[in-house]
Amino acid sequence: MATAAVALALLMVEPGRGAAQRFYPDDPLWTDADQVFDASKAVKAEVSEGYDFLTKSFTKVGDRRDIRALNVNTLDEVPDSSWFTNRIGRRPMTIDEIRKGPDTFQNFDVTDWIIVQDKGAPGFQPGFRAYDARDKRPKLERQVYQLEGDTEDYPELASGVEMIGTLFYHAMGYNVVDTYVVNVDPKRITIAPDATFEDANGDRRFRQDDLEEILKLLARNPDGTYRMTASRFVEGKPLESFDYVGTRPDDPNDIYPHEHRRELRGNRVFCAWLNHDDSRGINTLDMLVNANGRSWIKHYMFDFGSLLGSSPRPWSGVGYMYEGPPTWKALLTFGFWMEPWQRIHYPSDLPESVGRVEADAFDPLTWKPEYPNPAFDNMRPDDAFWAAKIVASFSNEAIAAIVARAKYTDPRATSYITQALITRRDKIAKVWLNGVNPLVDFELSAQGELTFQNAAVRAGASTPGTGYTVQWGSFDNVTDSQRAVGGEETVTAGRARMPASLAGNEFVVVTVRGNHPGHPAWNQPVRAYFRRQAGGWQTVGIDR
Amino acid sequence: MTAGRCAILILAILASPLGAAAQTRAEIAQQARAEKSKSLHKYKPGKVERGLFLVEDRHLVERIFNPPNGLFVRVGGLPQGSGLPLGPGYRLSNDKASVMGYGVLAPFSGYWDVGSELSFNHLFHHHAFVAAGARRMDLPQEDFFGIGIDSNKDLKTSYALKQSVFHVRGGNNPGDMFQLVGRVAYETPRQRPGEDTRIPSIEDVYTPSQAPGLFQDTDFLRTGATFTIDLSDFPLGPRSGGQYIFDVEKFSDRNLNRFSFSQWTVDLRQFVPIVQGARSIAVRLYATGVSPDAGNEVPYYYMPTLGGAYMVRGLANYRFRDRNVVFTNVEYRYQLNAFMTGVAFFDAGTVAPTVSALTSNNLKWDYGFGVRFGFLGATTVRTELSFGAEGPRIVFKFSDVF
Repeated sequence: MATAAVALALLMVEPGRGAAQRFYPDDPLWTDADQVFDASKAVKAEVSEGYDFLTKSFTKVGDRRDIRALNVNTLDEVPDSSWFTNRIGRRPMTIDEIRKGPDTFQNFDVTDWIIVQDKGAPGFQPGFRAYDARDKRPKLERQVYQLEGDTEDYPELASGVEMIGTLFYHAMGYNVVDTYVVNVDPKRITIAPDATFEDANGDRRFRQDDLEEILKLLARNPDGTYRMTASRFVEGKPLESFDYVGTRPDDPNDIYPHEHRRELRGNRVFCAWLNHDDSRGINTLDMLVNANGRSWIKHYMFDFGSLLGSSPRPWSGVGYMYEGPPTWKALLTFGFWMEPWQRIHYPSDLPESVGRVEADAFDPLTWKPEYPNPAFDNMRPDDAFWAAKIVASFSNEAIAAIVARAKYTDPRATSYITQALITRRDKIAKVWLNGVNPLVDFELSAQGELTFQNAAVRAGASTPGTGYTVQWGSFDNVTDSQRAVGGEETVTAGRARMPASLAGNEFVVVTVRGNHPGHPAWNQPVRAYFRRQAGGWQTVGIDR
Repeated sequence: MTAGRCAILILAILASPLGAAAQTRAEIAQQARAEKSKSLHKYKPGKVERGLFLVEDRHLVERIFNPPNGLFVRVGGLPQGSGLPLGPGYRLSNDKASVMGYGVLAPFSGYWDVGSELSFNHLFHHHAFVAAGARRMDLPQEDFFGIGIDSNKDLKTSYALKQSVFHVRGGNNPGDMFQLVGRVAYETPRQRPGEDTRIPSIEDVYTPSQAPGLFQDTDFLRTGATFTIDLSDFPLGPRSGGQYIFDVEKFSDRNLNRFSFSQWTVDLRQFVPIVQGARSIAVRLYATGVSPDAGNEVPYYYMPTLGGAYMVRGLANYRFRDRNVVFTNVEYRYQLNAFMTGVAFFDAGTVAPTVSALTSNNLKWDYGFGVRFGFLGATTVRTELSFGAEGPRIVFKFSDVF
């Protein structure tokens, strides 16, 4: 009974799938006002990494039904919210804008650091929390940074990808904290008298030997400084991470189950592109923000230090930490049975700043995070298409600009990573822009001329195909029903004319199928809905 | 909130008069939020999740077994065959020094060990350490099969050894590519009849000529040094590179002037990745020898031995002993997942009174397979089945073979 109710409820709210009024006056909604209700009672969640691993690896948590993402608008796009802000996917970004990312400061010039705490979380990167010695504000108002360095054997590796991940995720549209690559002089680090260090006995005073132990693990520059990333602590009260399943029970604004959020499902595509295998819920951050007298939760993507194969895990991006069948097959054959990824060749003539990442064997479809992610598992072709469009929006120049901010000493690292990302981008575009009918940007002029674009062709992920089949219809918004008008016509370019008989309708619908022998998914119908407005037609809905 | 509960909430809103009154898409969402805001509650983790969170948040494993300060549980630290010694320990440490005391007892074998150590681990900006300590332990049923490669498996006996040890050691800290550690110790081994009731005591089967030093107790001053070159990729569970250990030690008889000797040890470990590192070959070559001073003998209880879970696994602990021992382990390791590694192995070794007598004619060997549990190739638990000349043996250990 409950299952039926759930199904019915989701059916009713799913745009374009109900029997009632289909489009509302405010469609398409480009802003989800999920900062309206007071979330001040939200409290820090107690998140266990082990529990997260066990439940995600050995159970099917969350709602796994094959349904459309619940937070998309009628154009099948993601409205701006506390989770996501449309950036490169909706409008062109300049190279400077992409390069700047979320930076608060144009010239980050902190030279003297005062340590206030240990790093605060386990991980491969040694580090600590500190503030700018010039910051004389009261303790609670000081701007604190998380400083993390590279391990001795892998200089520039983790710090480089942390920078790269931050900038890509910002341009994609996620909330990220601003991060800077800095060189820290150990002689200019001091420890605040009340700085704390957590060990197995709990919190204690941060001591000089703690700092020495941290510095000992870090890769050291020839001039005696240490290259680190400084990530700014953003405003608000930290509430730990969000989960990729369910909703926060203490947040009134959080109504869409996370495994059905488009930007979380589609994150699988971004993670595949950047080989962000450590894309667990643990590596996210919920911040309780207080603005305009209201408290609401802002959701961040966090910790990109394992991107691009920088973790020591050999299965990074290609296999889960635990998978039953491969384990047994390998065990029973004494390891002679191997998964294909175990034979991937990673270049060995590159500097240590380059992790286990390559593009030749990369298969976007088989890419895997460390362990199953319910939102990733729920990703459908339309979610992947949405994300792949964003990936394809990054030009070669944009990718190069982002990689350049990693400030690799060895130009081979810069050029290899840039090229790998370009090749991986193209593979993603080829796979996921052609996984559905890739028609986008439908517009209907006041004179009744329809234009549309092919996202796959535009991205260079496909040849144009042999043409498009167009069927016009009238649309009754009250009953969500449509009636074909005229016969099918075939056009060779993204252009068609609406029958004159539809000109007086309040709504019209056009169904377009693509024809390409190499891409059968193009033949799936895409329906574009238009609402008559003063002076023309508004594109109000897309069914893919 | 689960997806189901959220969906029911939205359904309820849509079915309600208020929901029916929604005129915009935004209103529908806000009504769902308004409804949810009436029943907000803190996330309530289940017992398992809460328990795991506590273990992680409070660092419970480290807190229980190896905290910087306070009471802890000490496990192990005694020779093979002692069972699972367990007991309390206490440590006090600050930024300069650490002092630790402990006492462990293996309940079924009767082995016990109490000790304390003062260490300065952060010298020269964490690059060097020096430590001094004292220890008293009782090993009531150590196995002795006689000396030489021809010793008879059926003539297994036991002896007991109780000793005090006072030591000072120092060097650069592990983690560096090169490590040099020097040490000085004063030991007072005292023998008595073995207490393993299943087999005879040593003196019932062997004479002092067959077991040098039998019941002739003396004190020893030990001075030695270990030089380690670590070129492996990971200190625990390496997949490539090598670890090369060289050790020399002088045992000086302080009372009888009859049992002074020197010992050298070479322990070479090489790790060769194959198939892009998904598999690896690990090879260990270990050789050690003792040389008595002129007119002296090497007491049987200090002679190098062969056999057990860290040497030739198909042999019993201490199955063979003599003045020289050499053995090799060759392992094919194949990672099964992040937590499990499969292994197929071959071990071979021998003992002899002189280095020149260490010939392949007397090799004792075995082969076998097993599974290791841990993380990222580092072993926490290993279980192995070996087949050799002295029958199949099962190995279950809480540490890696090498």
